[in-house]
Amino acid sequence: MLAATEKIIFTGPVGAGKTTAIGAIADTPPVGTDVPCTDGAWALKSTTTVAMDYAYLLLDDGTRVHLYGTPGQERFDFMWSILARGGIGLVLLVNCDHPDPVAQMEFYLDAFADFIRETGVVIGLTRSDLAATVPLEAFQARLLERNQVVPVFEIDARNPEDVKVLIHALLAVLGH
Amino acid sequence: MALSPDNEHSVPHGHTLYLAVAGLGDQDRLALTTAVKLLAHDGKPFALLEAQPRRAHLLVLDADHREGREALAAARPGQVKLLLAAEARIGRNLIAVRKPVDIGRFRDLLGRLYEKMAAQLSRQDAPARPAAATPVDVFRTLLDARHQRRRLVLEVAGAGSAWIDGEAGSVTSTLDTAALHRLLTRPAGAFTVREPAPGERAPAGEVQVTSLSTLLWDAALACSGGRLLPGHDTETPVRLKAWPNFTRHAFHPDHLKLAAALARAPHTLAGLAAATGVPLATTIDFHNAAFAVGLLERAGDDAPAAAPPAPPPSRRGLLARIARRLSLRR
Repeated sequence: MLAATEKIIFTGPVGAGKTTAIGAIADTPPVGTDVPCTDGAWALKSTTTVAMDYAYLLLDDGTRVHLYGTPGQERFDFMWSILARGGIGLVLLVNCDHPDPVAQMEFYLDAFADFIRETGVVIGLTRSDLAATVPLEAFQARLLERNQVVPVFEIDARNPEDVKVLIHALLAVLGH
Repeated sequence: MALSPDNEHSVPHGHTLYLAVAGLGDQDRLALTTAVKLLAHDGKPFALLEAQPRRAHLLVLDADHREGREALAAARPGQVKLLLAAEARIGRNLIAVRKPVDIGRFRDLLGRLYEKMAAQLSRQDAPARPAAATPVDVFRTLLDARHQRRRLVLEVAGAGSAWIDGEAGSVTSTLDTAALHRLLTRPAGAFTVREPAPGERAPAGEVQVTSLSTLLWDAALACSGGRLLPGHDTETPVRLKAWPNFTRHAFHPDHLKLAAALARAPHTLAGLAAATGVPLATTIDFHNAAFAVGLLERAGDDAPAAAPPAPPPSRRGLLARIARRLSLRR
């Protein structure tokens, strides 16, 4: 019998740390589809994910929880709904050194609005330790204006404990 | 009946006991609801939870009905069950009653259960931990500084000092982070608090600058000991304005449950503890911390909204296994 499968979706803009966050908690190194950047994203990183990242968590009963990272570039947004279908919940990562990270957050909340309504979302703010970044309170205030009281935490995507806290918050949102 | 030590469902006198019903026929349900009305006059209030029976203090089930047996199987081990059955049953936290059960029997049983559960929580409700706080504890001192936008100096003889700036929301300290946090649980007399002298400035050189909110959060958890801040109570609904930054704050895993429940709808603290199964003392500590850093507010006249339906049992099991697999070190 095939083991049961479930999936958690990681999304966010280019350079937000999706691949890194998945790698921080997965049992397997992320299998990526990274290619050299040929558009404006080259300024942020040398390669980018064009289809998805993939890794999994193996649970004690043999269940695999798939961790999918969506491609960050918006021209691949047709992949997002395909990847999200059947997912448990959404992890949205936003890099705070973006010129307008609050708008980035809103863009992804809107893009995944239906999926979020059916499941849940948590938001991880990466690179918040860099100078002159937008403070956490700005994200919280905008979420409150949108009537969305969702978890939003500062994280280091390389730190497994930070990513685990994010997932635990997602589980709490989902009713665990 | 002796309630098992892990029973989390006791309530203090005067508080509402939440009960859920499964599989009861119309006659039994009518008898139960009538008994509940009578008990309210006896000062033993019960409220019926229409959803999420696992979150009720008490389950009333009919074992001869499929719905009742399913609810029994899905109940938490520590949950108290009043089981209506044709035959006697024995189980942990389980009271089996032969049918039929009339109004008087329900009133007697529920009344006695209320007494036992209230008495148990009275013990549990006493400060859950030895109060680490001093008579003028650090938490209250920091909270006053923030609310009144005052500057204060905390000094630990021979160790160093912390400059609290309620206006700027910062703490500048010659103590390292660990020492600063140890200060939160110091006994009375271990530190002094004073107004800065005219012209006195925050320490410079090798200092730690941290957010006052971070220290306030930690101080609330270290000093509250299950006691509410003055002017607050367990019966006024509160709402969460934003989630605490849990990756940068100390927290108990139950705080995630509390934040998630409050993010869905305003709750009273008593209702929140009942709905989540989190001990009231932990709920109060979380409330104090979230209130202190401005993440919580009173919900006014807003009635708590109905809780969303619980995830199906299969999904609950999956979520629990994911949580185990990603266990936190804190």
